[in-house]
Amino acid sequence: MSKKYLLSFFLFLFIISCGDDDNEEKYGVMGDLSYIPYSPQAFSITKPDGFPSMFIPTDNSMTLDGIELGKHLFFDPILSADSTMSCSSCHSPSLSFTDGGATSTGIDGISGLRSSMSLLNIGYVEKGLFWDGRSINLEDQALDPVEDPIELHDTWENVEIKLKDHPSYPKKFRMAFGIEDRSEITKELAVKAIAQFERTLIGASSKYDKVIFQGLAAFTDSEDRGMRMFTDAQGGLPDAECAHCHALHLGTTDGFFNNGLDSVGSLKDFIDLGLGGVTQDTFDNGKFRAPTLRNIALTAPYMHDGRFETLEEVVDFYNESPNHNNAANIDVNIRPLGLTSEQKQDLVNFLHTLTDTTFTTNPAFQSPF
Amino acid sequence: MKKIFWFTLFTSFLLFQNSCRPDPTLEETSDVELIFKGKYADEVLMINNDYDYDGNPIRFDQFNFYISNVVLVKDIVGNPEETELFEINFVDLSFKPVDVEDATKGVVITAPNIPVGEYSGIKINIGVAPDLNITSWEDYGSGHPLRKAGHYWSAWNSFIFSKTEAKIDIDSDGTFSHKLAYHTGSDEAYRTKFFAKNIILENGTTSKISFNVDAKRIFEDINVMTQTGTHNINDMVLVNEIMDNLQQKSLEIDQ
Repeated sequence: MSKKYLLSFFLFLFIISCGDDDNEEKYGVMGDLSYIPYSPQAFSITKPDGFPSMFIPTDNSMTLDGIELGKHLFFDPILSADSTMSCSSCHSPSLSFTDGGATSTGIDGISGLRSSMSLLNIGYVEKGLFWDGRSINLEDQALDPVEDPIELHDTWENVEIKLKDHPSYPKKFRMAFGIEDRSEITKELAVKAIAQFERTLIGASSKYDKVIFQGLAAFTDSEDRGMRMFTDAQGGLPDAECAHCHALHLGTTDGFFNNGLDSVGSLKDFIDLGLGGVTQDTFDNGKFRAPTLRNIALTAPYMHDGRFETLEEVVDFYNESPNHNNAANIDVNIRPLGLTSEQKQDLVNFLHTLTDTTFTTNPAFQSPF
Repeated sequence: MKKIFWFTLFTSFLLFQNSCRPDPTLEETSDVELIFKGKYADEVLMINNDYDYDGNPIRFDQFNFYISNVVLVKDIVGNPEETELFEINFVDLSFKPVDVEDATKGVVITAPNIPVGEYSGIKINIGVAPDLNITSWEDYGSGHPLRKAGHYWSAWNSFIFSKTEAKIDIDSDGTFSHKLAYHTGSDEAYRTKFFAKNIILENGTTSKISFNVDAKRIFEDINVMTQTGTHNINDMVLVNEIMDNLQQKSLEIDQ
C-alpha cells in the first residue's frame, strides 16, 4: 500500500516537473484549446476601381476569424492599463477613424503633439505609418499605442495576461490562429489580428468614385473646376499643386513632405521633427506624412497638429504659403497659388466629393460591444 | 537470355549517350550590372548638397527617371539582334548617400542570367514605353518599379517619366527661393538612346556597364529664371526640351 502511495507521489512530482515556465504551470491542462475546432476561412480584399492591390504579409494571411478577433481587440478597452480606452477611442468609425481633436489624449489625461490619423484605406500605406513613418507595417504600428505613456499606457506583458485569463479571447485566438493552448496568446498574434481588421477598412464609394468610375453621378461645375485645379488638368485654370502629394485616386502619394507649416530659423528648430526624428537626417526635419484626402471633410481639424479647423483654412494656407521660402527642405511645389475666392471654394467643393459616408456607417466597421 | 543482354546493352548505351550531351537548360550566362552615377558637371551629385549654377548656389531635391526596354545589341550584318536586360526600371539619383564615396557608387540595377557573347552596344529607352504607359501605377504589385503614386499624373494619363526638382539661391541671401520642378511624361516624351560599346559577357561573371547622368545639363538652353516648371500637358515644348537634354546631353556611357 505504501509502495503505491510512494509511486503516486513520484508520478505527481514527475508531472509537475514537466511544466517549464509560469504559463504552463498556470494554465496547464486548463489552458487547452485544442478541443475547439480550427477551420480558418480565407478572406480576400476586393479591389475597388482605381485602387492598387494591397500588400498582405505572407505571415499574416487574412481570415474571417482573424478579422473578427482584430475587430474585438480594436474596440476593447482591455488594451489600456485602466480599461478606459481602446484603439477606437482615438479612431472612431463615425469620424472616419479619427477622434475629432487637434491632438489626442491618453488614459492619464496627457495630450500628445499630434492629431489622430484616419485609418481609411490604411492597408494601402507602404512607406511607413504614423505621421513620422516610424512603423514599417500595421503589425508593427499596433504595438506602439499599448505601451505609449500618452496613449493606452499599459504593458504588453500585462495585456497578454488579461487576454489569457479572459473568458472569450482564448477561443477567438484559437479560431484565428490555431493555437493549442491559451498560454500561446502573444502580443505578436494580437497585433496581427488588429492589422487584419485594419486592412478591411476600405472606403471607395464617394461621389468622386461614382463620377469617375461608375458613371452614376456628375460633378457640379464648381467641383469640376476644383478637380482640374487639384490635378493641374487643362482648362485655363491655375495649378493648385495638390496632387504632387495627394495623388488621386487614393488621395495620397504615401510620401513625407515639409509643406511650410512652420517658420523656423534652421532645420534644427522644428518643435516636432516629424520624419527627421525617425531617420535622424536633418533634411527630413519638419516633414510629415501626406495623409489621404478621402473623407477629409470628416476628419477636422487638419495637419499633424490639428492647427486648422476647416478645409477653408487649409486652402487659404496653401494659397498664401507664407513660409514657402523659409526652410531648406520645403517642397518645391509649395508656393503662393494666387487662387481667387471662387477658385478656393471650387477646391473645397471638390474635396467634399471625396466623402464616403458608407464607410463611416459600414456595420462591419462598428464596435462589436 | 540473349534478348535481355541486348536490351540491357542498348539501354546502357542510350543512357551513356544522353549523359554526354550538354544540358540545354544550362545555358552559359552572365549577370549584367548597370550603374548610374549622378553628376553635377565634374562633381558627384548629392541631394541637398550645394553646387554652382551661374554663380548662384543650387540644391537638388529630386533627380530621377524611368528607363524601359533596355537591350544589348549584337551586330549581325543586316539583322541586329537584341537581348533584353529588363522591361522597366527606375533610376533614382535622389537616394540619400552617407557621403561622397557612397554617392559615387551610384544606382545599381542588375539584370541576371544574360546569355554570354560579344555585344556591340546597349540601347536604353528613357521614360515608360507606350505599351506600359497605357497602364497606371495601381496596376502593379508592391515593389514593382511602376508602383509609384507620386510618379503617375492622372491628368496626363501618363507616368511621370522624370523628375528634376531643385532650388536656386538667386540673390545669394542664403534662401533657396527660386524653385524648379520639371516633371516630364506622355508618349511624346519617350526617348531612345543607343550607346556603341564592345561588351563581352563571359560565363559565370558579372559584367558592369557604367553611365554618368549630369543633372546640370538638364538645364541647357532652358531659361530657368522664367521656365520654372512643367506640370501639365500644355508644357510639352518644355517637356520635350528637358527629355532631349536628358537623352542627348545628360546621360552618357562611361567608356
